[in-house]
Amino acid sequence: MTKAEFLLQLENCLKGLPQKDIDERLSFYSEMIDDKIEDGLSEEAAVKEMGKVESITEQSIVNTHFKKIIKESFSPKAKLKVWEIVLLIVGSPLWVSLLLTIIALIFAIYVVLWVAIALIWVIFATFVGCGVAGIIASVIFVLKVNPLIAAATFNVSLVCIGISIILLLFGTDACKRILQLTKKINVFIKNIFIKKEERQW
Amino acid sequence: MDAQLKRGLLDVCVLAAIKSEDSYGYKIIKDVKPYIELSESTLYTILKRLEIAKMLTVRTAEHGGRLRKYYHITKPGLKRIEEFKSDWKEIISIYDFVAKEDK
Repeated sequence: MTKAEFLLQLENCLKGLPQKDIDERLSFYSEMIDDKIEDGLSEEAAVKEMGKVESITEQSIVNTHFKKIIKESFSPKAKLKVWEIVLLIVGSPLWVSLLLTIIALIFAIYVVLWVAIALIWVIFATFVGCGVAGIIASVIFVLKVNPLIAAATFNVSLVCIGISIILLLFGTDACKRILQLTKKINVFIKNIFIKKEERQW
Repeated sequence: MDAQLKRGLLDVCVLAAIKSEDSYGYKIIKDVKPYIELSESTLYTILKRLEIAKMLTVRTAEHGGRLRKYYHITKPGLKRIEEFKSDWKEIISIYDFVAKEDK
């Protein structure tokens, strides 16, 4: 692949990012290729050392803030015509309410997921509390009440602590998975806007 | 190597590469690569991050009929290197302790 082909392919894949960011990246890779050629590499070898365009694109998308991509996607590429402006205003009750509904739905799903996780932590805290209280109570029961009741209380406390350990592992894992899911959804949504720009191009 | 650890090390390595004199992208990679793997795409991200953090500045100069960007370390960048050197002494003493336990 030549330098020109590489840069063109990269530019196409980065459509959707702010133009300033695209230009800076192209300038960086162009300079890097020229320096490698100056150092004795052939053009093809220098381009090959840059890596795959797909990897560069993915890393660029991950490292670009979500707001920047949305802003770039919704900014008009050319001056809007009168009928387009009228259509936007007249149609606003529909597209604004649709957009708000989608945002509210995504938000609601997240709230439900995080409430479920919070519930796990509340139950965890309850079992820890019961376990600790049970151990203290069993000590008191041994001294003042009945060793059998104390033993039973102590056993129940151990069961509570055992359940709390399981909930701790489950809760920690659930939190990690939700955070990973958030990252993936973030990249997925970013890709929708990037690929939308590629199709327009 | 742990990803988070590598990311921290790469930032400091790039700063170290421009510490004694202004340098450019390809030279930074050549200087750093013997010590730690650094790709062109990763370097771009690191340079951007360090520029936003004001640890380096960028200037463009003419070279062989084309333009080349040179990176210059700033006081916060030098401070970051010193912090790394100070942190590392602590890490080495912890490493000695852990290694001693294995013997």
